[in-house]
Amino acid sequence: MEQASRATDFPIVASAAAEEAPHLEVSPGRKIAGRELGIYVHWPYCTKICPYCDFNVYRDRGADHSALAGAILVDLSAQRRLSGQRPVQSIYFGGGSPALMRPRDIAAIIATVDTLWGLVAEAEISLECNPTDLGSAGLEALRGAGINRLSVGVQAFDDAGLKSLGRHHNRADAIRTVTDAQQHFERVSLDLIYARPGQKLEEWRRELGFALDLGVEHVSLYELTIEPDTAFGRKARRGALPRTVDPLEDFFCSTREIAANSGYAPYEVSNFARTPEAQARHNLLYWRAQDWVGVGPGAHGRLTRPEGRMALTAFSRPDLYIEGAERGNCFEEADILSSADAGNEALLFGLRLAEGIDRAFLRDVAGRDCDAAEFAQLQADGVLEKSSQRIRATERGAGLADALARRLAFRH
Amino acid sequence: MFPKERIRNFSIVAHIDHGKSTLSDRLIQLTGGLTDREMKEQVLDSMDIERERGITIKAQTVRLSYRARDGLDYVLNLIDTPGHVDFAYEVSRSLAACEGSLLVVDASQGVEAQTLANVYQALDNNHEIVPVLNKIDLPAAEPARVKAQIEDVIGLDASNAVEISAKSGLGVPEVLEAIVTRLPAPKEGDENAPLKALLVDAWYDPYLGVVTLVRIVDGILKKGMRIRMIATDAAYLVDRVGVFTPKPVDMDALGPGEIGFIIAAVKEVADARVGDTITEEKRQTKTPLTGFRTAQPVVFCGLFPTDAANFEDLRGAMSKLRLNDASFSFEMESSAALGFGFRCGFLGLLHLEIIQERLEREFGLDLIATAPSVVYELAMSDGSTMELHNPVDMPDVVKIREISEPWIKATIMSPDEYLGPILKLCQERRGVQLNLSYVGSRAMAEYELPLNEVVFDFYDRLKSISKGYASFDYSIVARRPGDLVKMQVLVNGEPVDALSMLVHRARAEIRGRAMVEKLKELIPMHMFQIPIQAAIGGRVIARETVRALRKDVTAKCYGGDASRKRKLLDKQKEGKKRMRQFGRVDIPQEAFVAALKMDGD
Ligand SMILES: Nc1nc2c(ncn2[C@@H]2O[C@H](COP(=O)(O)OP(=O)(O)OP(=O)(O)O)[C@@H](O)[C@H]2O)c(=O)[nH]1
Ligand SMILES: [Mg+2]
Repeated sequence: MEQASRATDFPIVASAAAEEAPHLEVSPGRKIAGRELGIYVHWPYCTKICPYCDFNVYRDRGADHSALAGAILVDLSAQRRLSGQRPVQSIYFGGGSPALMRPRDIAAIIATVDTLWGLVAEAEISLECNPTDLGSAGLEALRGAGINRLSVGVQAFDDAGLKSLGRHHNRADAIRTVTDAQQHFERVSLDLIYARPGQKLEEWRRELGFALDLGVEHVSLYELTIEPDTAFGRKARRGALPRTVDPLEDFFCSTREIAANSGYAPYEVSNFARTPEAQARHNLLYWRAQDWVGVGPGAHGRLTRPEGRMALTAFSRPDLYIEGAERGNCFEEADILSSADAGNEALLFGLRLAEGIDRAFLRDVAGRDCDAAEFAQLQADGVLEKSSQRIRATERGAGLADALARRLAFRH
Repeated sequence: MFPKERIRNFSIVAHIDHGKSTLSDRLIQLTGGLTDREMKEQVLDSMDIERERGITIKAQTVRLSYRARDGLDYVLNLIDTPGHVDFAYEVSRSLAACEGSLLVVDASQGVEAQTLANVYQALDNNHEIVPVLNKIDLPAAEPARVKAQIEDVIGLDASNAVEISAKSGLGVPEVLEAIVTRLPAPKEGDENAPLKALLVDAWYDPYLGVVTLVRIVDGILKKGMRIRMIATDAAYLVDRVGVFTPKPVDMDALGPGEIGFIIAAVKEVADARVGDTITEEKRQTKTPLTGFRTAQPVVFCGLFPTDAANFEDLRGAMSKLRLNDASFSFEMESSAALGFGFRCGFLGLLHLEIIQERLEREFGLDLIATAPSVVYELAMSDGSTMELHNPVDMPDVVKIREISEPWIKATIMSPDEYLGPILKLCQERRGVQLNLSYVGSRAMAEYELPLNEVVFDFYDRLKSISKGYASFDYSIVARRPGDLVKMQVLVNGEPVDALSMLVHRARAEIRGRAMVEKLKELIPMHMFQIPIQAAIGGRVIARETVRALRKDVTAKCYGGDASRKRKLLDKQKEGKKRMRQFGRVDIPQEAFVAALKMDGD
């Protein structure tokens, strides 16, 4: 069943100055016909599992790469039937360690996406890598396979910090990888983790300054999150994980301030870009509640269909995923979200963005307007901007996205 | 009818945790009341909450059959009693049904506050007392020293105290012999006289209905008999007569000196008044028993459903609980902040805690408890008097001539080294020292204290400053006028009636400061800053501020996190239900009781 829905003039303009930007008023009777579409590819294998990571990852003990890549291609064509015909804006290879994929598998996936949907001319095709994953030749091979943006998981620039995160590379590896990446790719982003065990704010400020001086177009700066089902989580429960010396809110505020002063605009809670074009376009699809197809073990997808917004989850275990592909169904779960659930996702994600959410868009997703009294109250408290069209945090509310979402959440 | 010369009725009394229930286990086992398979630890503690907390709340009666060394068969009626001071009433009515007591003393700990309180009560009931030194298996046991203590402090001959380990069973056969040879048989009792029986206890059993425990003094109680309860002046037909072994076993009749149960068509436990005299309808006794005073609630607090929609469920649950616990009272109350709920009376703080826990667990309710309060008596300027159970109801001060509050006499026993801080604590709480004495290295302090100062956290503080070694017992002795004022708490400028309380003027500032400091910890940060104030009649005596929230956000949030984050959001919405909104501030419900506990000194 092909739903010939086409991407419309939606979504919202991606500028931080969205208040002045023209935005789409959706009249109550009019449904949004289609949303932008991206593809997420999950490659779950790693040579080593990091102690803070709670993604769906597996140690690579001679896994069958062809079988998994083959299954991903099958899954893609199955999901093409669900998404309908519309152009794909972006592909993102995440993991796990997608840099360990064979370049020909990457190329085959990109080609298949292009055949099935058609890639837009300036499609963003990103891949995550770790400093020790690849040398210069490897990077060039990725580029040859079609990757045009590299996201480097540096995590830290000091050896003690890297050790505390259980990483195997050192400061020199990190710097070399970033400079190598800059030679092969125009678009490079790097990830850092702050508020590491025992870290002092002063140390982080220095480290961040150094990182920003490297001149990449985009950085993701994450506060270390201790997830319960990780080595760090278990250590923390035993009381064996030292916490930061300074308060977390100070880390958060300083990070924003230092990045902004160096010309990196905080367009999302943990993401900073030098120009609007440098923003991670694929990730913006999530934050703007657009559509994406998720392929690979444990990948999640969201597709807007006539019957509602569909949430899809692939089998987590690679062997089950591969078996699923043989049967022609890789989904462990496929649900239609209620309009309240869809609205809550849009809120949770949209409030993270500096541009916020268009109120009319939210109304369309949730099937109702957000609570006017709460909205007005949060504006009065100075945490939401005094705009009636957009729901957007003020500078003081910038670190409060979750709390704001809780306040505005739609009830079932 | 069992010959009364071969009946022994006795209570087992002791300080909390000295091993009463464990000794009961051994006595039941040795006399074959239960098979080994049916036996479990503290088998008489049958309520979930008793088993979980490892304490006895309700006294239990068991009839044992014992062939003594003299070759004769005896009937032993054992009553296991609770040790905690809140349930002292259970002890007093149990004692009234017996002629003797086993006084259990933990040989590693010695005489404690409730040991004393219970011994005095037993002596008041003219009991014969057999001292039993328990836990002699423990390396720290010092039977000789504890015997000397019993003689010094209580003035009881301890030379022939029985030394046992209730846990291992060592020495327990000697306890059975001591019961037979040293405790008296029921004294008077005429089988041919009109029926006269003491109503010892009554409770609701889901299978049997209202079960009434009785002690026969004169006459014979038979199945099918029409009986009359004198105080309530109601007549019933006896459906069943029996005893607990501890399983209920039907009998045809009970005679003088015996203890057993009856089941008649009594509808509610409240209809069977403890201490009442039961007699035969057509041949009534001319000399009813004096009975005893019913237990009076001394601590009051409001209980409100977190979700206002559950008000009727709460009413239903309370009525059900009251079926089994007549010492707990409730009446409807409405609060500006909390909506509709109930003002409830309890025997003490443990009782309050237990009832609240049972309501929440057994009936799945979410409750908010307000500040516990004692009963004040107000003498009004117009000459009238009123009882105040709830600070919210306090009339305008200009109409009040005098406020009086209940005072207790407290006995505290503790190792010498903690005495300093204990005396300081009593002093701070407006205590008046009556007596201070030593029993070996143990100090015994007797104080008069206002109950209002004890109700909140006195016991917790006592335990913490004495590292758990001090023991405490009290009874209410008087009502005395005091310079009491109403303290209000304002959160974000709005008075929270559920937190208001009466305090002594001299203590107001300390109480107020402790309260706002505690609330500052308990109230989560909001998007705006929240002033918290304690005030007396418009004058602020303490103030704190909860800072505005600056950061509440997940660091990483991408496509794969959408479902998880959304489910978390739903859960957090649920979590908010355990909060109560006051104006614009969410206060967690545990704050209402926790705010009253003061840390440090
Ligand atoms: N070592 C040792 N422990 C004992 C002995 N008797 C009882 N205990 C332990 O002491 C604790 C309290 O025993 P209980 O029988 O519940 O005491 P209780 O006096 O009935 O307590 P309350 O009813 O709460 O006043 C339990 O952990 C028992 O296992 C004994 O002879 N030796
Ligand atoms: Mg007990």
